[in-house]
Amino acid sequence: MNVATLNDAQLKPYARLAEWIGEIFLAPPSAETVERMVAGSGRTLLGDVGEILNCRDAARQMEATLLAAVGQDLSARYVRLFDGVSGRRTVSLYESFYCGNGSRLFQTPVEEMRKILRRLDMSVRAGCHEPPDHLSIELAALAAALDKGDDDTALALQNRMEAWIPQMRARLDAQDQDGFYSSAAVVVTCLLNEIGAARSASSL
Amino acid sequence: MSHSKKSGPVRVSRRTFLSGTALSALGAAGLPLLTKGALAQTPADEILSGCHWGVFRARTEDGRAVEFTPWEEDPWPSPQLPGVLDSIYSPSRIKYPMVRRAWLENGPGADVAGRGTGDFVRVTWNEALELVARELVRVREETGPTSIYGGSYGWKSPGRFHNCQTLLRRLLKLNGGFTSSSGDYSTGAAQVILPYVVGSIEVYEQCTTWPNVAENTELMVFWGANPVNNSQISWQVADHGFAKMEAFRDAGGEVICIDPVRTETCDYFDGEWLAPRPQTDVAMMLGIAHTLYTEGLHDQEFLDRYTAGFDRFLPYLTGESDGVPKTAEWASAICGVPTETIEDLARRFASKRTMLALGYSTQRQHHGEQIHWMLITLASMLGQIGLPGGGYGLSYHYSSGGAPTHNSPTLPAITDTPGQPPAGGAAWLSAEGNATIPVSRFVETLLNPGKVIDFNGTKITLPEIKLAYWVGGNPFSHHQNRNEMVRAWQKLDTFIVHDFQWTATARHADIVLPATTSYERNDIEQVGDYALSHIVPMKKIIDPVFEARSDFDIFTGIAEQLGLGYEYTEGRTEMDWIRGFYEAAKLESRAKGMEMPIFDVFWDSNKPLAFPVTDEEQNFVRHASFRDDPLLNALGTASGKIEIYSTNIEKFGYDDCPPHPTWMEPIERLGGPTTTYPLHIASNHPIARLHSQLCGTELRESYAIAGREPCWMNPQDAAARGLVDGDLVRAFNDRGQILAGVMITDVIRPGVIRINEGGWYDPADPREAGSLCRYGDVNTLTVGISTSKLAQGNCGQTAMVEVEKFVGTPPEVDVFSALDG
Repeated sequence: MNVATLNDAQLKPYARLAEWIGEIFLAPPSAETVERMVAGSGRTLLGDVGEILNCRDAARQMEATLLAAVGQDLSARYVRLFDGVSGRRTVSLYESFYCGNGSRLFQTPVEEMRKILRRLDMSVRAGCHEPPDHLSIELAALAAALDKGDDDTALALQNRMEAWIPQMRARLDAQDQDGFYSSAAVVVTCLLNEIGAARSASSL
Repeated sequence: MSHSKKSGPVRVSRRTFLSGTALSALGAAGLPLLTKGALAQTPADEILSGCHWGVFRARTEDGRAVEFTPWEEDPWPSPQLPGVLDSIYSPSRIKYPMVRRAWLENGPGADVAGRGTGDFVRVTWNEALELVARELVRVREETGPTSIYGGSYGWKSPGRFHNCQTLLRRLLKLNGGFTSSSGDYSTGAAQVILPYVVGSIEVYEQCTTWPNVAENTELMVFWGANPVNNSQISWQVADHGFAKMEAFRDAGGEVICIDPVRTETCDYFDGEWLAPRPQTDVAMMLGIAHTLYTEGLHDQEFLDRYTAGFDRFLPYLTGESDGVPKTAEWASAICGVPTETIEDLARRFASKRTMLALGYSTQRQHHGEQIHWMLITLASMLGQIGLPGGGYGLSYHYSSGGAPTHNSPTLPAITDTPGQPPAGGAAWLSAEGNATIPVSRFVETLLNPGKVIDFNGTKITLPEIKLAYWVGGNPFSHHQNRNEMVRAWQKLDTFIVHDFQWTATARHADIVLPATTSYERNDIEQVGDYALSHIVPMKKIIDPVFEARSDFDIFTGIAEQLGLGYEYTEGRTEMDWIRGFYEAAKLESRAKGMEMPIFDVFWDSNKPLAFPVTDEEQNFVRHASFRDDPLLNALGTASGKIEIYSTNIEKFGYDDCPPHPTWMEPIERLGGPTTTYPLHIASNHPIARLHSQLCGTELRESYAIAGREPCWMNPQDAAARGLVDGDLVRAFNDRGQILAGVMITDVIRPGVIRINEGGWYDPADPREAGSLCRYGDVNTLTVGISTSKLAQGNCGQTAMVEVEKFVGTPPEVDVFSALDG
């Protein structure tokens, strides 16, 4: 498939969902964000995400963990899982960790992602100091590709994420069984699946 | 539900949902993560810089460091260099400012037992800087500036500008003062006693050069000295000038290595290995001295002309004063080396041009002051001090001591006093502060505020510390008796740390600020601690990763919070300072008859600036001028001579540091009269890391056993415990317990195990006193006492333990981030 044959209506709508789920993995949630997600409308929408992406259990689990969260539990959970302080139990959100040179960060995937961002004529916003192979940025790039109707790039991004996210999810499942973030990672996988399915339908 | 069933046209409701309007309710209301406009590609580059492991070139691609290769003129590149690149991009990098949750929510001093449990809150830089500034002011106002400990110590990165420890003190001075520290952990005992003995600290001063040794020395004795291992690194940028000892090897010089471990140096020279019981060096030296004396092999003329007090030492040596002649037989019973070997050593030393090279570990033990004193006494009896290739050398042990010093100018450095001109000299030895404690006494200080201790002829009242601020160091590695330390740390209200990796120290902090590595900032440094052969531009290789900031930027931010930003920076940027240091060196260089290029030419040259070495320095002989004319070139001692008996020390009246070299039983030792545990630990310098630096890198895979720090063990000891190679073991004593992986080898004597210092502390339960260290931090087992009332140095080589096979399910090591755990 190429840009010319892409059915925008099939794929573009997933861009916002990619941005949204990506942002969840970008930083510990603020109290306001948690509050918004826990509110009735937020929970309804979470249910809708589960329906649309065919990941009802994961969405329900996200909702359940949100409701059970006290104070800054979710923020603390994020830090423990992703910010390196937990050593071996840290779950890396960087592609380089899984597909680079040992467990080093900033490896070839960073370079490849920089090229992709250039192709999209995009860059990471000022103030964000994450490398471009961070899960959130790869999802944001996917969203940008979908927005631009650049399905070659979207497909490339999808393929690369499908290559490393399973390893990330395995680590996450081990540390956050049925937790908010392991459930959110299921949503990521379902999103990629759903985009793939929509692409297949579009190409028929 | 299968995808085929779901992949029909997108429903309107879904499309509306996916338009994003609704999603904002789920939290996606922030700024877009990507913005329009691509960043330009950074061209590939090769950047020259320097580090503790030497000068190197960094290859970068699109702003990313992809390879570090040693500088082509490095004579002996360190195999540790690849680990440096690994550390920069470590998954355990500290990415954001963090505050321990209990501290943030409940204030200073909250849940201090919870330090190390990893419950942090990510905060913005502004929040972090404000918290730090406010806390510095609070503690200063409530309990006074001496309640703030700024004696932060450790192996910071090299560089004349980004000396984080100086930069810290600079800030704390602006805040009204602090408690500082004096001395160091490497040579804490020696550097205090040696000024009484030879008039200067010696341990960091040039010894007779390797070219001179190669030409003149007939017998080289490495006594606990291991330059082949320890010269991989330097405090500044390593020159690896110890490669010059190759000429001595090629000349077929005779080498004896006296060490419980057959060292890398012994292997290099294919030397003769003698393995006394650890901590018995003084007894062995006394046995040699006694033989020299009784056989008339000592140089009385030298003793008369160049030393003071041999006559007062002699009654002790002969036993006249205490009834115990320090014969070779007496020494043998203590050190385990056969009597005839000790006697033979005396004869060999006296019959040849002999150089006695003493290492640092020998004085990092209970009563460690005595070792260096006794070795110099022995060398004095041999009478070769000041002769080419003879005498003693206290700095061969590490950092290429003995590499000839080049004719280079002083390169100034930033000072801890704003407004003060940049200065040279050993910043870590300065004792500036409102109060100063010996560096290894920090834990004692925390546990005993108000206690009066002796130190080098003075009395020190230990201050009450409420806040400790640590930069460029890892006290949860280098300090002894870890469990005592963990308990002591609970006395602190606040512990602030700058670091770039989640070391145990960072994990035990209340406020953690992510610092850049030296590869993410510009600096300037000299090459070789002794050689001073080049000035090297330490050019920034990559931009700071994540939210890391340089220590200078962090402290500037705090100073700005205090309203003292300009006072801190003096209005100068990083490059302003670096340029200023270079220009000062250029002026001095001109006075020496050399013309350095202008700064921009130097900086853009991408190569180190070389300085020549004179014939005089090439053939430098330690104490030659003193020997030539002991009156005109008198030593800095009270008598101007080598003091074998010190009346100054006598006046102190210390029961643990008599006025002449003396054998005293340490608190515990192999074969000691009151020692219960059977195995001594040689907590040596690691082979594949720099203290604790690089432990959290891929280099660990080259040495870890069973995923833990290696424990070398003699086959006899292993057999007695039913251990085989690769076994996971528990090493323990009354102070603590660690896991380690056994390596059975005959390069270590029976009764001694080797577990290198610097393994990252990894307590199974940080809240539990005495918790098992899962990785193998040897300082969990070492004693926390001081060497003596004189130096108050650390005793990192004093530890007796038992080792047993670990039974049960091994706990996983948690402290490292890695793909495979």
